[in-house]
Formats: sequence, structure tokens, C-alpha cells
Amino acid sequence: MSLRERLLLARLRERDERAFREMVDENRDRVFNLLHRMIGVRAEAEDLAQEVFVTVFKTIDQFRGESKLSTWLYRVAVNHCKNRIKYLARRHDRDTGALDEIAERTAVVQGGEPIGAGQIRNPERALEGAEVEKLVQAAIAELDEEQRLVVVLRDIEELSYEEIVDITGLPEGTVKSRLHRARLALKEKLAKHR
Amino acid sequence: MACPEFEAEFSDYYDGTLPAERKTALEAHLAADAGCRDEYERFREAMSALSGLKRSQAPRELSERVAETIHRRSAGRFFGRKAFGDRVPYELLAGIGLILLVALYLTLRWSATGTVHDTWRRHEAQPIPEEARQAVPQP
Repeated sequence: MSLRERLLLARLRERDERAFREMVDENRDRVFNLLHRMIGVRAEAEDLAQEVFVTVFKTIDQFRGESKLSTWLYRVAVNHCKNRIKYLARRHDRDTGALDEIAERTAVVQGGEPIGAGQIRNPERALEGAEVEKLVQAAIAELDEEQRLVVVLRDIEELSYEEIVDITGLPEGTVKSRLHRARLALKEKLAKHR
Repeated sequence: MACPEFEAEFSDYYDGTLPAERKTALEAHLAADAGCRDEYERFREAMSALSGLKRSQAPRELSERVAETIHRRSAGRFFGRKAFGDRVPYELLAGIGLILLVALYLTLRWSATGTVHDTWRRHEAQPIPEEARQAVPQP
């Protein structure tokens, strides 16, 4: 942990609002991206991200500072995610049709702001990109939960194996074999659309 | 269809973590076996599509929403509403006030009936009428 992180952690333990907002702003995208890729529904991911940070506020005293704060945040997010997936499965509410706004992201620029069709320099290319993204997200959604998690952490969040081991609590060999099977499954799923 | 023995090493090869000896063997095999080569190409394309996914961005007001939730659930114990003074952008208000004052001054200065203009005119030196000049004994 860096000195800056230690200072932030000390302020978080004092329940300092400014420190908390700083922490949320620094980590919101990585937490949200993980949740969104795992759940596939933006509204659910937004709601869950809020719950993750509320949990962080409540349980910050349990974080012993042995890993990076972001790693611990991922761990909290993964736990919430698993619970939500179970809950949604019970509600039979998770259908692939709910992979909602991928199409809306057709015209999303890098800064994340939606833009009008007239502003797209190359609409055909943007559409193609959105189609690919939709296919990839659908392929990820078809993976089982455990495979999906390692793929998202490794190939989308680009975390190291060490961090993934820390987050999931799995042995490195298990992470690697699970990831390999997930990648092969993705290859097969995406190959159908070539 | 890839040879299972070599396909099992695609991930390590892609990650660059395959031991040198196995890497050489795999590369030699890929060069010789078109089926395996195609499979690895598909594997690589899938990985490329994955890493090309845009990052989903959280709503910007997330920290505000979280703070409100904490405030509500803690029955006001944490993250209370900010005092009026914390929410007023005094610097901005001071700037706007200054601009308004200058605008007001200029309006008064250049208007025909404005107070500032009038005052200035009143203090301007008036020519002394000739009768008055003659009535006053000259040294």
C-alpha cells in the first residue's frame, strides 16, 4: 500500500465524507465495469455498485491493508455480484434480452458521452464495433459464473494472476485452468459469428 | 480442430508465460499444422475482441447517491446535509457581484441623467460671466 493509500484509509476509518467520496470517484469505474460485465444489465450494475460502496463504508474497519484497497474493493464487489446473480436466478429475471444498452453504446465516444448519429465520423464502423461488442458481451454472458469472473478480471480488467488469486481466494492453478477453459469456450462461441 | 496437446498451451502462449522450450515446440507445430494454426488464430481474435471491449463507465453522480444512501440508512448519523455556507460558491458570487458593480458604475457614468455623470458635470469649472468678473475688484 502506498503512503497516499494509507492516509486515505485512515480518513476512511474516521468516516470522513470527503475521503469517502474521493475513494468512490477513484474506483467507481473499475467496480462498475466488473459488475456490468458480470451482470450484463446496466441498471442492476448501478444499483449493485451503490451497495458495494455502502458495504465498503460499513466494513472498512475489516480491511487490514494487506492488499491494495482496489483489490479489496474488487473482492467486496465479487461477493455482492455472486449474491445478486443467485438472487436474479431465483427471480428468473436474468434473460439475455436484458443485455440492454449495448446497442445504445453504438455511439459512445471514449469519454463516455452519448453523441448524435450526425457526429459519428464513420457510422458503419461504429455500428460494426457495437455489433462486435454485443456479440462479445453475449458470449461472456453465456459462460458459467466462475469462468465469467476470471475472464472479466483477467482479460477485461487486466489484473495480474496474483491479484485474481487475492480477489477470488482460488489457487493460481485453478485460476489459470478456469481461465483457459473460459477462453476456449469464448473462442468457440465467437467463431460461430465469423 | 486443434491438437489437444497444443491447444492446452494456447493461453500460456498468448500470455507470454510458456516456457521457452514449449514455446519453440508450439511455434514449430503451428508453422506445420494448418488446423492448429487456424485454431490459434481464432483464439487470438477472440482475445483481441475481449480486450477491445469498451470500459463501462459508472454514473458520475454515484458518489452523491452513495452518500445519500449512507445518510439515510444511518438515520442522519453520517454524511449529514451540508451547511448553507458549504454549498454557496462564494468565489463565484463575489466575481458576479464585482462585474455588476462595474456595470452599474459605467451605466451611471455614461448616462445623461445618471448620478455619477451629473455630479461630475456639477464639479466641472464653469466660465465666469463677464459681469461677475467686472464686479469683483481685480488686484
